[in-house]
Amino acid sequence: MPGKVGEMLRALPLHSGEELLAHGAEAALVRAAQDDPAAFGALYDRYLDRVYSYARSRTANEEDAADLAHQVFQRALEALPRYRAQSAPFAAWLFRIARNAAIDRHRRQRATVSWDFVPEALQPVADQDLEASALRQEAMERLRAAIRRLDRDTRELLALRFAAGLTAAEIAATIGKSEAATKKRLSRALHALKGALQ
Amino acid sequence: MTNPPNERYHDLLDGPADPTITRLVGDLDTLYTATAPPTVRAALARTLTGEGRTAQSAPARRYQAWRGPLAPVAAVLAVAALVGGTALADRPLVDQVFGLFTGGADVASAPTQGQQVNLTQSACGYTMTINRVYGDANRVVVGYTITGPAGRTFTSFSGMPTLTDAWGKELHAIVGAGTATTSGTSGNATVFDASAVAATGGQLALRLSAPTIEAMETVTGTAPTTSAQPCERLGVAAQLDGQQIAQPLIVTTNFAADLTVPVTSSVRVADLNLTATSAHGTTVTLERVVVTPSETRLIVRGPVETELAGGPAIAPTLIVDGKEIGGGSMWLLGGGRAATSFGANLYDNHGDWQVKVLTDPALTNNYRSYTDAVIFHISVP
Repeated sequence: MPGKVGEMLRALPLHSGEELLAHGAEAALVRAAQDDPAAFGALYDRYLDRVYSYARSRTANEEDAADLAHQVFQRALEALPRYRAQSAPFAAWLFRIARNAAIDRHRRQRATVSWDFVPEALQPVADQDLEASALRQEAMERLRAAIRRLDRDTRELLALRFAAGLTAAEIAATIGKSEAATKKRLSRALHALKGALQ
Repeated sequence: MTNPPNERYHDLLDGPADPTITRLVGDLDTLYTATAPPTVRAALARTLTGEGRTAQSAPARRYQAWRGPLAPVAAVLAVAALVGGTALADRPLVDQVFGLFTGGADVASAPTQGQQVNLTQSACGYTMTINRVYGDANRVVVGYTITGPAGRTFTSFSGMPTLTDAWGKELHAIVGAGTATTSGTSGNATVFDASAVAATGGQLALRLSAPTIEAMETVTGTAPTTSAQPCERLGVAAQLDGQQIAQPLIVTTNFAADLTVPVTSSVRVADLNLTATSAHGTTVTLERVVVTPSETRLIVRGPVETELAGGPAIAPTLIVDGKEIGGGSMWLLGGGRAATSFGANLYDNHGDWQVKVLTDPALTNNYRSYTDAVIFHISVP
């Protein structure tokens, strides 16, 4: 039954709308993993999509994204005993690790440069009008080009919001800014993109 | 089910209704979540079974195969839809993947590309069959299937083959792709950079090695899987509501095969060495263009190693018949040179080609843009 596992994992509450419901369960998962590293798999599965999507937005190709995602989980596993829920939400803590890992990687790999850090959107191949598909691809390509021209900090904000799926409050905790300032910067980013696409 | 964008991004959409912003948020969500995670579960399993790299180790350059939709093939998939409209699901597993890397425009007739091989090896109940190989001046592509032991259900397999030439030199793996399993078998393809070894119009003697494969087995229940064999190492099972649902495995297979890869003579090379300077004083040289059915590669010299305004100081783009070719990626070659690769099949296109190299990036109101460009009008014989 291809795809069933992925569908089941994606069915887990991941996004802000369910945060209140998910918070207790997540705290239990974190505590379980702190007690027994073998239980880390549940957190891994919970965050795999988001960490990978974020890693993909910070690397030039899929191979590097996989490697970065691997490093993020490995560092998280090693640091988990030191994590304290009072200091930051787990998602913010995890993506702070991801962000630092991406920065470290970038410093190490200065021999590899790519400007193409925005993943292509995959459109369904079948069951779609070909002309509509072409127009859609073109629109997404324009959006990718507009994102590429944003400054690095703004691209980072978009990656944390859309690829990592963090709320403004979690992003603020990740990057060390206030929630209000983070919201304002996100809003500015959207309007900059809107202006660029018009 | 995942919530719709207007619920997930309510914090971004809580101002006055703006259909453009709403659509933009939806598009950003599509864009940033389009990539599917690979089988890093198995990579983690390797860590937890004592074979992982340390966090301080150098990043692996080894290819990792992928399941599901893949960013690097997305543009090619789109081409497949536009050009062929082929029902990929009706085609053999390997051809579904293989055709994506051997010439996008010809994907509908991908079985005509490359050479059928059909080399099969089995170990530990797992069977790897190398079905098809393809070579041109830019790329070598190997298509293969993996089948698991009978009586067990797998959602995916990942081979991580390496390819070496007759002198033991390893070809860099660029990208790979795989299908989900169908009747216990997955189709896979790995793309290697052939620029350093390709013998255009000749044959390449290469050795493919796959010492291990990774697998994801569907399991149920709360007890550890009991089906593991001595050649299988278990990772941490994925769980849902206390029940195991998926078990990553690393299987020692020690597969190896000697291949003879015919390299197509279809290559168009333009040694240009054209130099231009932007109004801001940035000098760029377009050294070479190599067009094969699988890829178009530009070799450019300039300030490629200088990063400005959060990106490289120059960015080569390709415009063919007035249309910009998307999906390019650039890597450094050393000595101020960089290669830029475009996966689209432009081999039969003899129209008006331009290489537009964007230069002199600057930040204005946090918005990065290239403020200048040099344009080369070229002819590729």
